[in-house]
Formats: sequence, structure tokens, C-alpha cells
Amino acid sequence: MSSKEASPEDIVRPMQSTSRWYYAVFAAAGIVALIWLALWGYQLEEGLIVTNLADWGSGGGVTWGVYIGAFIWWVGIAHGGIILSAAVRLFGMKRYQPIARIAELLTIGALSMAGLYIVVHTGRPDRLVTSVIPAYPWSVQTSPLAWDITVITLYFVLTATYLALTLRYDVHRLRDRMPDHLGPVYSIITMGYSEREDEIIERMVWWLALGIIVLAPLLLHGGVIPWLFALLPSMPGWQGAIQGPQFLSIALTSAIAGVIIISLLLRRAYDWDHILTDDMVRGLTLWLGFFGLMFIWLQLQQVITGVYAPAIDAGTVASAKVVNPVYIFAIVSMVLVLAYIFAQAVRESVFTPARSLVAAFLVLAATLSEKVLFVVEGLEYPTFSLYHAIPGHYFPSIVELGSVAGTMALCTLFFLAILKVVPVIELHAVEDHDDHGETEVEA
Amino acid sequence: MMLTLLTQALALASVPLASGFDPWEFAPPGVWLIFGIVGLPVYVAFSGWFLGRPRNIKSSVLGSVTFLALVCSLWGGLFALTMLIRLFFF
Amino acid sequence: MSTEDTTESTDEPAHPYETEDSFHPMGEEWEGRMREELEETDFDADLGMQMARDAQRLVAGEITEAEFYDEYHDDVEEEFETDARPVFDDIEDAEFEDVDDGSMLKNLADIDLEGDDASRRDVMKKMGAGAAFLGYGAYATVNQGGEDVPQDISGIRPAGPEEREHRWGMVIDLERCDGCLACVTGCVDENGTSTGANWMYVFTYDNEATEQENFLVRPCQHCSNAPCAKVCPVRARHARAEDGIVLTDYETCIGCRYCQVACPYGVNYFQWGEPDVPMDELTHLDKTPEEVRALDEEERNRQLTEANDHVYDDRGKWVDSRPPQGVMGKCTFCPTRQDGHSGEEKFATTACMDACDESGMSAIHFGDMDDPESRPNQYLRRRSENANEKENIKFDADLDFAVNAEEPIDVDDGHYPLAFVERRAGTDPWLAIDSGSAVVSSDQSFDPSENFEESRIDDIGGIPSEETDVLYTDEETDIDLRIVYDDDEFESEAESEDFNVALRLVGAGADDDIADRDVTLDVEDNLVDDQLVAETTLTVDGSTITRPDDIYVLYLLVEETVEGETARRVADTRRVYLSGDRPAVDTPDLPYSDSSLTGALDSVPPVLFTGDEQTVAATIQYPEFEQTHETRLVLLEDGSEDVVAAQEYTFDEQDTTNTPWGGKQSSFKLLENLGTEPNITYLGNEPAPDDEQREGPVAYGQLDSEKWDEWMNIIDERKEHLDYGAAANGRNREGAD
Repeated sequence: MSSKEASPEDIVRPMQSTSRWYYAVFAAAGIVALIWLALWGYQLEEGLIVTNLADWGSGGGVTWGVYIGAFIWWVGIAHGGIILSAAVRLFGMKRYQPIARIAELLTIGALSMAGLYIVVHTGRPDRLVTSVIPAYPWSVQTSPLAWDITVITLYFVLTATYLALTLRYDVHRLRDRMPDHLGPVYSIITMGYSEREDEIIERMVWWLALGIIVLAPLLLHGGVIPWLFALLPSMPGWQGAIQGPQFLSIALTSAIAGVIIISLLLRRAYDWDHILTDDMVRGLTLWLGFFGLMFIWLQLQQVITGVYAPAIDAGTVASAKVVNPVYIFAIVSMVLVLAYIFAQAVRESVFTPARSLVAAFLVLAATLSEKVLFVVEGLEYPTFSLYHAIPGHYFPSIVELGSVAGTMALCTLFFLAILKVVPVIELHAVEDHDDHGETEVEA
Repeated sequence: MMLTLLTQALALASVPLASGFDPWEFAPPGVWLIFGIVGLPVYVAFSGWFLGRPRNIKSSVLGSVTFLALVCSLWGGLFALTMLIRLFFF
Repeated sequence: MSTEDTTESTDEPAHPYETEDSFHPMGEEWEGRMREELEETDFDADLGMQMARDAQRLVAGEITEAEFYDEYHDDVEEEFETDARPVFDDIEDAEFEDVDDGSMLKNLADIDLEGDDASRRDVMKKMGAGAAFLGYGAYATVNQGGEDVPQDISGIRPAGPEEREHRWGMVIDLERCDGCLACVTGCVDENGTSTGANWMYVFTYDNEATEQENFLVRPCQHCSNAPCAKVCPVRARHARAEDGIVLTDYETCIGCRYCQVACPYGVNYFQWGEPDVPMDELTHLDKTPEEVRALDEEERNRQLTEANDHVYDDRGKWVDSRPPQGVMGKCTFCPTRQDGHSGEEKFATTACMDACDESGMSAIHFGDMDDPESRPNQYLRRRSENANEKENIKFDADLDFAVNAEEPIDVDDGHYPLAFVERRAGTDPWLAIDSGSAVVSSDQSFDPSENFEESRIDDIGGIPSEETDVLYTDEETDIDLRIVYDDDEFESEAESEDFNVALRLVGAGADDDIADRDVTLDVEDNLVDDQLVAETTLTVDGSTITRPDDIYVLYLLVEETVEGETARRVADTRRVYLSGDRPAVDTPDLPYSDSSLTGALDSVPPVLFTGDEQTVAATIQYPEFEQTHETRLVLLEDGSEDVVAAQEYTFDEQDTTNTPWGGKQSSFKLLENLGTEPNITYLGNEPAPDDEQREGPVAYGQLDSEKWDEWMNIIDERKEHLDYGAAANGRNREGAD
């Protein structure tokens, strides 16, 4: 525990000064992003032939790959926001309040990257809006993709509304310490603000959190997204009601990992050890372990049912999965992370923030690999396996791999930008008069 | 729409319980899912704003307008991006 | 308003369309022709004319649709037994004004009477029973709770059986397919698909139960409950209500490829890069999709037909031929043909079916599955009729018996009965399939055919025969000969050729001519279908033959000049029994019961020489459920059996030279349990879940589509081509991917 007291000064500091590191990271992220944008431009020009995707069946390839896998992965990471906000507002875990807004911002950034992946992965992205909107009243009746678009829009907007509402309190009070040139932005955020509304707004965001905690985990990443796959009758690798819970476990795991990474990086950049405390990180690490265990347990369910006495088509894909090096990497990584987390639960001294950071990165690598493999293997081993070109083959191309780096760079740039505009830690978390302070011991 | 649902509901009431049930017959699955299930958390949140306590109409309207403005910004931004893509590449 | 009203002639024109004597804008003559046209149909022309007149009024806004509906409701019901015209006021979501195509109400008044174009089909389409009439054509049904869907958004299921016009589907006889890939090439020619995008795909696969070669012919199944249409987020993939064809709207598709993911059969091919065939090589009407849809339906179909368009369908949607870059495509069941744009004769055909017919296999039968008299349904019926007649027969098998191969025949020279027998298992009794006779000789010199080459003559008719031909020596016998030459064997340039034909009797030490004559073959007179045919008669005087009664071989010898050499050559042989008296000799009774199998001894050499290996050919028809039969050739002498040749034949050894026919007809649909309701019925062996495609006679990589350019190689390793370009297929195309 640091002896330093958290204060509003801490949270406006990013907006007041810029270090060399900021510029360096900005430049690096900017270059990576630009390289990827150039690659994407190449893809827009030549078509999706620049990926290593191909038709499944007689074509010998798979038609969905890294783009869709990464899309799912980013939506998973986005769940960090609502998990933390729900923890704070619905379950009263004030311990995590300092990290809550950062997590919500991660939601916005991650969902934006997910949405960008949809634009990247379609053959005619220029038609995305002009074709989707007119057809919506009919497509929503039957198309899981239309449902996906609906729920992602809802999650994004509800979260953004949540942010807009909670920022009013902070911006109003800290305005004099925030950059002048952004005045118009702050005016919009605090339009019609009066201090009487604080209590009402608190209640309103409580309702929002309640809505989102049902919507996002249960109906998005544990709902319409797995249903994109599980509702199809002909890809045994995707079958089963277990996909809902399975995807949810991935979301929760990736989400906490993302929050751990962001909080540790920001903490380091802005000397926020006394706000984003070790204690908080330990708590997050334990939750990472819990969700990771759920992930492994659900994988166990799938492996057992897939190899014991499966139907021919289900057995083929399950046995292919189990020996696939990518799958083994994902599982082994998760097991290593769980081992660390178990160890530090038993003996406190095992925990260090650095180790948790490594664990979090490993988790993200594992979940991305597992998700891409899930998408790809489903298409490699369909029920109709008569074609000699089945199983298909796929290894991502430079353009596709570039998109992973590119979206991570863009998300970084997003955070770098937002740090300059609004406080990323809630004022409530650092105010002296907030009586749900750090002293309370929470789960 | 409501009329259709009502008449279908009446039809449903007259069907003996033991017979087969085809969910597509009454409304396609997407209608049930989006406007029934997925919509619920959203309906609940907005209901909480306008009907829960403590409440303030002005704030509730502010929240609702924010929500709508954000939907439009999101899709407007997406539209702009796709139009740019169309301009440069198609 | 009753139907007895006749057209008015004295009222002042009530709206701009009404001219002096006729309500039709084109005047009385047109109205008269319309009436003629209506009278040709089976329906009430008066009613039609009256409704047409009021349709004009409706279009002009004089009456409301509700009024129009009510007026004729009873009459329409009476005439067509149903009135399924939608009452537009009920449809809340539809924006009637936005439907470019306008209502069929207008079309009723605008029937195209231009002679040839007003096909009965078009007229019936408008006049026909049910919902095709009056305004329904502007809407495509969704078949979800009866909801109507406007034309710019598409439905996902065909209309119900009462409302739709057709349900296009196929019956594909896999037992007739031989993997020639004519259908694949034909499809590429028709649609300009890119290399490797095999909308029609044919391949061989292994079936573990038999070593038989199986083919699967795999176009799109055009499911009536298509998962691809359900999942499309923009309703680009849809099913046409009027006929169930599942199509992709190339203008709307965003290229998300979810249809390809959802399809269980793998029939979708995405346009990953630039299409191999540029748009301007496809024949199409030179108008944008909006312009095409702005035309009214008559005009649209007329222009599309005139332009021999191959990209628009009758709704004016861009759905046919290959998709542009970034968009999904698949087999389309050739909608431009079904809509009449390729001419009346191509209606109800597809490019693949035409190609298969042309190549002589006729394995593909496309047609309206709702129509019991359509080509596919007739074919199904015919096949199952055959099956009922010949219940237990599945295959023709060819057997070759090797006589004297292991053990030489060990009997005295002479004439013996020969039996072709079979039994199912080791202890069953032998049963006779066929019988014949054989002359056995130990004297090699007996074979006069050594001295003669085969003549060019193809055929000899003549001595009537049962098992043994009998030549009586107590009379004169006329033997008719029918001499047939293939035209290309006829070497000389002469207008005619003379040669001498002779009959030679050979056997038991005898070897002499018994009759001969000269024959003149006149080229001009005798040419029939590329063959030279001449008929003549040889007269055998039995009294000149002094041989004992016995079996002999009769040779027809021809003295002819081939390549400058003149020689006597064997044209034909026949075994004869020479008899001085009657009755004829019967073949002794065989000591076997008859087999239930059908079969025959096809060719027995005229003489079986002991010690010399010879082949006796036979055929047998096998029931599918019999696994193994032992078959034998047996020479019988005085009631004892001497086996001259034996062969075991098992069902597993059948190869494609066997022609399967009749039998328990196996028909199936692919993945029927998934509930997609595919519209292709297959005849043949159903693939098992673990069957696999293997290299077969299908020649991917070696075929080209000639139509587009000479490099359009038909391959099936599309991923390699996408990854590495044309070089991967050994082809070098300038400027391509």
C-alpha cells in the first residue's frame, strides 16, 4: 500500500503534460497503423484474394479466418467495461472503481475495432450501410448476422451513453484544470448540467449497467455471436449449446486480461500506483483465474464429448482440434497462467504486477489463437466432407496478420487521444469525501 | 403488427398442447429474439429511467437523446467511412 | 358490375386513356386484338376485358383499389376458383409508390399483343388462376405468416404450391454419368465463371461397400428451405417466390460470405479477385439495373430477350452470370432461360442439361418438380417402371471363359452339347442359363480360317437357326446373303466392284465349296447410310453334297482385292448339321434345371480345338443382392459331364462396363436430414458419411472452356490458383492474378 493519497490532480495530469514516451508510443503506434492501412488499401484495390482465404469445399480453403476470429476476440475484450462497471455499480465492489472508466473506454475502443473488422472482412464494404439498413426489417427476422449488428450497436451505444452521463460530473468539476481548446467538447458533455442531477444520473447509470450486464455477456458474446456458428446445422465443430457459455468464458477472460494490461501500462506511465493499486491488480488477477478456469473447464466438456463416442463428423473435427499445435498452445498457455494464479493465491509473494502483465498477454494470445482456430476448423471439417479438398487449408497472410497489429495500434492511438480529452479515472474514485474508499476490503 | 400477434396468440390458444410447435409459424425467430429477448434489458433500462425512483424527466430525456444521437453518430460515421471507400476503390 | 356489360362507345372519355371507341390507349384495334387474345384462353374474355377497362380507370385514379377489388371479387372467384389479389390497404409496411415496377393492374391493360412475343405462357401468366393475376406480381412472398414483401427486398422461400408458377429442380441419374465434365464446361460457357469456381461440379468418390466407381454431380441444390437465404444480412441471397430459384442479387451483396458458411453443400464460390471474364464479354442489355427495373414488365422482358441478355432476370435484378469482385456467386439454374430471355426453346432447360444431352449421356433432367409431366418427373417414373418389371436384375456382366487354359478338352472329335451353368454357393445344384453346341476337333488343320483373312464384309444373313443350323441334302436350299460394306473400306474409285462369293463346307476331313456366285456391288445403287449393302441368294444343291450326316462349319468366302492383293477371305461362318433326312436333330436334354438368371452364350468358336486356348464369351444379368456365383462351361457326352471351363464371378468385381438397369431403384437427396429441402433428386448410390473423393476419370486441369478465351482452364484446385495465380495450374495468362 502506498502512503500517497489519491487526488484529482492525479487524474488530470495526462491532459496537462505530455512526456517523450507519449510521443514515442504515438509515433510507433501511428506507423504500425499506417502500414496496416496501406495493406488494407491494397486489399480494397485487389480484393480479398490478397488474404489466404478460399472457398471451402471443392475450393480447398476456408472462407472465414483471422478477420472473423479477431472480430470475436475484440468483442470479448470489450466486455471488460461492463464487467468492471457492473462490479462497481451493481455489486458495490468499489475496489475496482478506479479502473472502471478505463475499462469502459476499452469497451469503446475494442468495439470500434470489432466494427472495423466487419468493414475489413466484407467483399463490398462500401455497401455495408446502403445494403444493410433497407433490408433490416426483413433480415432481422432470420439472419444471425443482422442480430449481431443489432446487439453490437446496442452495446456500443449503451456504453457510450453510460460514459457520456458519468463524465458530466467529472468534467463539470475539473473543467478549469482541463485544456481550454477543448472547451466546446466539454460544453457539449455538460450541457444542461446542474448539481441536483447527480443523484438522478447515478440512478440512471445504475439502470444502464443493469441492462448492459444482461445484454453484453449473455446476449452478445454469450448470445448472438456464438449463435452465428452454433445455429448452422452443417459444421460439427461449431455445434452445440455449449458454444454460448464457451464464448462467454473467452470474453470474460480476455476482458480481464485487457483491463490488467491497460491498467498496468497506464499506471506505469502516470505514476498511478496509489490509485490502480497492487491490491486491485491482485483482485483482477484472481478474477482472471476464475474465468480462465471456466474456459478450461468448458474446453474439457467439448473435448470429452468430441472424442469419446462421437458421430463421424463431430469426431473428425474434435480429434483434429486436439492435436492441432495452435490449440495445444492455447490450452497450455491458459494452464500456465492458471498455475501462476493458483500459486499466487496460495502464497501472496508469488504475485507481482509484472507477472500478471505477462499472464494477461499470454491469455490474449491464447484466446485469439483459440478463436481463430475455432472459426477455421469449423470450416475445414464440415459434415459434407466428400470433397477431396476437405479438410481445407489456411494460414493467415501478411495482410491478415497485419490487421491484428494494426487494430492494436489503432486502439492504442485511441487511448492516447482520449487521455488528452477526458479524465480516464473517475473523480469519484479519488475524491476524499468518497466513503467507499480503498480501505474497504473487497472480493 | 400487434394485431397479427394478437390473432396469432389466439390461434395458439386453440392449439392443443401436445401437438408440435413450429416457432416460425407465428413469427420468425429473429423477431422473438431481438424485440423480445435482446430488447428486454434495453426496455428495462429505459423503463427504469422514466419510471424508477429517483427520477427526473429532464435527465431521462437527456439520456434518451444521447442514446439516439450516439446511434446516429455510429451509423453516420460508418456510412461516411463506407462512402469514402466507395469513392476511392469502387 | 356484371360481366354482361359491353364496352361503351358513346360516353365522353372519362380519363386521358380512354379514346373514342376504346378504353385502351392504343385504340379500338388493340382492344379488339386483346379480346381475341383473351378468347384464346380458357377464361372468360368478357370478364377480362371488363377488368382491363377498370384497371385503366384504377391507374388513372378514378376508382380505388378497394372498389376495384370488391367489384370483381365474385366474378374472379367464380372464374378462377380463388381470389388471391392482395388488398393493398392492408399492407402497412409496403410503400406502394416506391415499387418502381408498378402494379400488374397496369399490365393487364397493356398486354403485349405483338404477334410472336405474346406466347401462351406469357398470356397465361397474366390470365392464369390465382395470385399471378392483378398486382400480385409486384410482390414476392416471404412465406412467413403470409407476409408480403416489396420487390426491392427479397423473400427467402418460394411461394406456396398454389401461388407459385414452378418449382425448378432436377433429377440427376448418377448411374448414367461417366464423368465427361461436359456439364461443367457448359456451365462455364454459359456463365463466364472464373477458373475453379465450379458452379457445377462432378467428381468420383469411393464407396467402401462396393469397388464401384461412383460419381456425384453437384450443382446448387436450390433448397426450398435454404439456409443461405435465411442468414443473408442484406437479403441479397434469396429465393424467387414464383419458382423457388435461389439467387444472389449482385447489386446488394456485401460479400460477408455468411451464405457460403451456412450452406451445407459447399456450392458457393466467392469472387475473391478480379473476375476472369470481363463484364463486356458477357452478353447483356446495355442498361443499368435501375433503368431495367424502371421498365414495365412486358417491355423489360422484350428488351432483355431482344438483347439475348444474360445478366438480368425478369424482375430486373442483376443475378445471372458470374458475380463481380467482392460478391458471392453460385449455380443459378439459368434464370435468363427460365424467364424466356434466351428464347422459347430454352425455357425449362439449363446449360448443364443441354451439354449432357449433347454428349449423349442425358444424366441431368431439369424441370418443374410441381408438374408431374415435366421431364425430371417423367424420367423418375420411367426408371421406377423399369425397376418394377425386372425385379431382381441389377447388372449385366460380361464373362470370358478361357477354354483349354488349364486342362485340354479330353473327348473324341465330334459334336457335343455345351451348357452354361451357374450355382450360388458350393453345395447348391448347378442350374443352366444357356446352352449351345460345340464341335470338338483335335485336328488343327481342320481350321480353314487359317488360310483366310477376314473379309471386309460385315454381315451375312441366311440360314434360319435354332441352336443348330440344319442343311438338308435332299433338296435345294436358298441361302440369302446380305452383304454389307462400310463405305470407308471400299477402296476402289470404281463405280462398282465385282467379286465372287462362295460357300464352303468344312468338317470331318471335308473341305470343299458347295455353292458360289459372282456379285456386283454398285456404289450408287447400294449406298445406304454410309454403307454399301447388297442382297443376293446362293443356292445350295443338296444332292451335290456327298458327306455323311454330321456337324460341319459353313464358311462364306469372298474373293476380293485388298491393297492390290486378290485372295479368298472369310466373311462369316455358321455351324451347320448336314442331314440327309428329317426330322432335324435335337440337342439332347440337358441334365440341369433352368436358372432364374438371364444370360446367354454370346460367341462360341466354330471349332474347339483340344490343346488350344480359346475364349467363349457370355453375358449374365446379376441380381444386386447376390454376392457370388460360380459359373461353368460344361461339355456333355452321353449324359456325363466334362467341365471345359469354369469361372467364379463375384458382385464385387463388377466394373463400369456393366450397365446397371432397373432393379431396386435407389433415389436420394443430399443431407436430407438437415431440413434444407433440396430440389435435386439423385438416382444411384448415396454417399456414406465417410466416403471420400478420389482421383478419377474426371479430367480437371485438362479441360478448357473454349468460349471465353483459350486459357479458361477448368480446374478444381481453386485455392492454389487463388494463392499462386495461373502459374499454379501450368497456365500462363498475361495480366491475370
